Amino acid sequence: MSVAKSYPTSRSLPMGLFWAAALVLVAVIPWITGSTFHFHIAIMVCISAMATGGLAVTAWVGQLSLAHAAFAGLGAYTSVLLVTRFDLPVLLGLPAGALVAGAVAFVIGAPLLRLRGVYFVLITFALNELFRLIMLDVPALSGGSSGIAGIPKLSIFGMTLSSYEEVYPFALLCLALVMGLLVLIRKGQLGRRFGAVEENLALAEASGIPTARTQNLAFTLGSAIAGFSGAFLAHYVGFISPETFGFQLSVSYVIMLVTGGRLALWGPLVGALFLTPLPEFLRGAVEYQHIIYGVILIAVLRFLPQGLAGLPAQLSRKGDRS
Amino acid sequence: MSTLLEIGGLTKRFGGLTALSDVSFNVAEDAITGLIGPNGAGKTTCFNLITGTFSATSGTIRFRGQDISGLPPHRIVQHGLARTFQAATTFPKASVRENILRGALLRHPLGLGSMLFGGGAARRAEQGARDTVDKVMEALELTEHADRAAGTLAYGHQKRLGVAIGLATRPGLLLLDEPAAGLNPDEVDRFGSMLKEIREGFGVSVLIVEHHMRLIMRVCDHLVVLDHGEKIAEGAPDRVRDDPKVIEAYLGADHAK
Ligand SMILES: Nc1ncnc2c1ncn2[C@@H]1O[C@H](COP(=O)(O)OP(=O)(O)OP(=O)(O)O)[C@@H](O)[C@H]1O
Ligand SMILES: [Mg+2]
Repeated sequence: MSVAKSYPTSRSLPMGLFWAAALVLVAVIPWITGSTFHFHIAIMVCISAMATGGLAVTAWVGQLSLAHAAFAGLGAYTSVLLVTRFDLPVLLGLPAGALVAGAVAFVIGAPLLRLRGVYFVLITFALNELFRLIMLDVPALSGGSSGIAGIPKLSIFGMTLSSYEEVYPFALLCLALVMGLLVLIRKGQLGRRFGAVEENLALAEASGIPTARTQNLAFTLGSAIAGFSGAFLAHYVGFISPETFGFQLSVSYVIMLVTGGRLALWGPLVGALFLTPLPEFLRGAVEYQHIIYGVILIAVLRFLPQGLAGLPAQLSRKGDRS
Repeated sequence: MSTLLEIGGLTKRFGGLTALSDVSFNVAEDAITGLIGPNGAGKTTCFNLITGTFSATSGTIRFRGQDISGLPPHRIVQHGLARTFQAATTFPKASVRENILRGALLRHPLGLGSMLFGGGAARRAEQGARDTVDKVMEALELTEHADRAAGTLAYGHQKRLGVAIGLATRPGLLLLDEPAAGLNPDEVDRFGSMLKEIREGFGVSVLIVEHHMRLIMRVCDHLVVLDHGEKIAEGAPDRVRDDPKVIEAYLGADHAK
């Protein structure tokens, strides 16, 4: 009998090396060009990729959350309030944001996740709007519609990261940590459980997998990652308002995820990498961002059902057939 | 023979429809028990109640003397009561081996830390589960398809894979809902032999729902007959076969078609 293959089947090593090298090459572009603008885009890619990574964790158990931006907002407001009112170091504000977002997800997850498919999408969409409206309604905390400006910059151990060049390595480190967590989830026994729940919920339950708890765990982890990314975004940009975390942001994350590959481990990274820079490069056409995203989404759904991350496999399969 | 499963006064109403009405029977240990009856008799509903998919309107379900009614399905499997589904039900994208592994891991529980970070406990669990998987694949003649995606298998193999996943949870009682439906006559015969081998090899008792009467007569030690949600007969297969009530239920159903 053949040697047992591990799940999920790992690609051959040379291909893995090729993609790792490609990723490193893309990551060093800002240092090569030295352009501040490129540093900014690269940092935004890291933040989007983290957030989309969180969305992926929930997607891996078969649920699509449209409240992802609200959890990012929850993390952002948590960190900003703790840092500005209680003098918490920003470095602790980020995990605190993750913790609060995760805790809220855990509590509301149990009843919410009983809804499946389009019903879950709709209820999370409504929740995102609810979050925005509540935040507008408590100006004492949120600054209301004028938001909170002058948010303390990212800093590590008392050292403020004041320039783009200083923020970028820290953003890369955080992204590496998030992707590391995603790898652990996917490659370990938890990924096996997630896969079972995503593929066939009734059979997973009948096989002894506690599907409700498993889905809630994924939703909690994913939303905590969103909280972390939101806190990062707040301290990087320096300004947040309830509108920052409106449902448009949730939709953007969904589009990035689907474009990259909803169920692929590297899907979130690939999706964020392709879609975050687009509107930035089309400076004059920022208002067309949603149209462009929409067109890309339709194209991906039509031609790349596994997303961009599934493209190499799709091409090689075509090659086999011919 | 001792009693493994005791069903007492089991009733299920869906709105105005009574799918199961005051049904009582026992399933003996080390036996293959058949649950038969015409279409719509309430056989699958009975399975859904026993395995916790639906909660009963009234009645009791005791497994190894323990009341298991009201438990969620995944807890009932832990008690040693596994089921397969009437439709071919698999994890379509995963390999055959992975499908069975997902069932086998039930007997090798891990904490969240081990699930994420691996380590010795996770490796031992995986190895233990893989041993079970190999044994189960062997018994259900799936070994040669081990690395194929479940969704690409022939229908008959998918049905067998469903049984394999249930068996991998190492149940004391395996509930099979029409495992031979859609198989060709040779496959049905082969499946009957497998079933007997499984009972011996895995020490598992079986409650089987089937319309293939030849298979039922060949493998079952005891039969329970349902019609319109009510138990109309019970006993040894050759006696039940000649029961006028049973003949009428089946003929009536045939005439209605
Ligand atoms: N979830 C449900 N909601 C409403 N009615 C249901 C439900 N499940 C089953 N029924 C009804 O209960 C009755 C019994 O159905 P059941 O599926 O248990 O029959 P069965 O004996 O398994 O039949 P078959 O041999 O065709 O599989 C049928 O009238 C069916 O329509
Ligand atoms: Mg049925």
